[in-house]
Amino acid sequence: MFHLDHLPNPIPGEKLIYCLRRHPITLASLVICMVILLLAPFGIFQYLQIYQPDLLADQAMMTVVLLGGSIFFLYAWLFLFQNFVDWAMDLWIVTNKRILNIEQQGLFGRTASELRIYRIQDVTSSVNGFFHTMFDFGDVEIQTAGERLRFLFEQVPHPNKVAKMIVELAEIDRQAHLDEAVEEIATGEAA
Amino acid sequence: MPLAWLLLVWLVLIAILFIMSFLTLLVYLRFGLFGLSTYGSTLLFLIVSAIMLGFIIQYLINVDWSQTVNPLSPFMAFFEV
Repeated sequence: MFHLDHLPNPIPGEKLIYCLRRHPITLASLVICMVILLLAPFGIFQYLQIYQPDLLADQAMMTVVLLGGSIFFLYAWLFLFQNFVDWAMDLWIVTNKRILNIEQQGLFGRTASELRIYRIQDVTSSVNGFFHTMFDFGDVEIQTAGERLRFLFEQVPHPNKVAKMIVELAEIDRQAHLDEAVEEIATGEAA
Repeated sequence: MPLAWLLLVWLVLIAILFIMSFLTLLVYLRFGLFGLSTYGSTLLFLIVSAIMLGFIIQYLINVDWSQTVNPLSPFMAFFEV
């Protein structure tokens, strides 16, 4: 499993700042649809009990209804779980040294990107829409100087706060790198 | 159609469901974030699935599988004049 205490390729002095996922509200439409689907077999069963009781009085037909309803429910439940797993496994991890972007694509696809925080050039946060504004979630776009030009945090909670923190961390890390470089030059000259 | 044929179809679908569930859980527990939410959601999925399967199996144990059935008979009623 992925441990936040033991990130891959650890950097000395690294501390976890954020571990972000999409806002849970983004699951709302899926959950509502799936709840309707999951309740459908029970609703149909109730309908048949009230309006077609002769159908269910026959044990053979009752068995057919139960077999079909149970399979439908179990597959719908699995589908809901798979979509939840897809949501849960998309992570954006911000430490004081780097940003990790882990995206799950389907069941067997996974992309992990890493960005050293001092390479960040620009951070933009955006909150667009009624529900986004009410629940304060949106996108954070990070422009970099690295191979991958852009990192995008999608629909994360409190994007303005996250963007501000990343900018501050980038400033601190850049200053630390500058200080190290100056010290190395000074040491080299002294030698 | 013998009722046992429908049971066979159901069992095949359940077997496919087991395989897909196993693969999903394998990926989730192997690559997911360590924590209560991962274990909790996994347990919830397994418990609800087990409860549903338990209820169905309890009913299916008492069914006479030698019966025959026409699964389309409820729909045929719509076409009767």
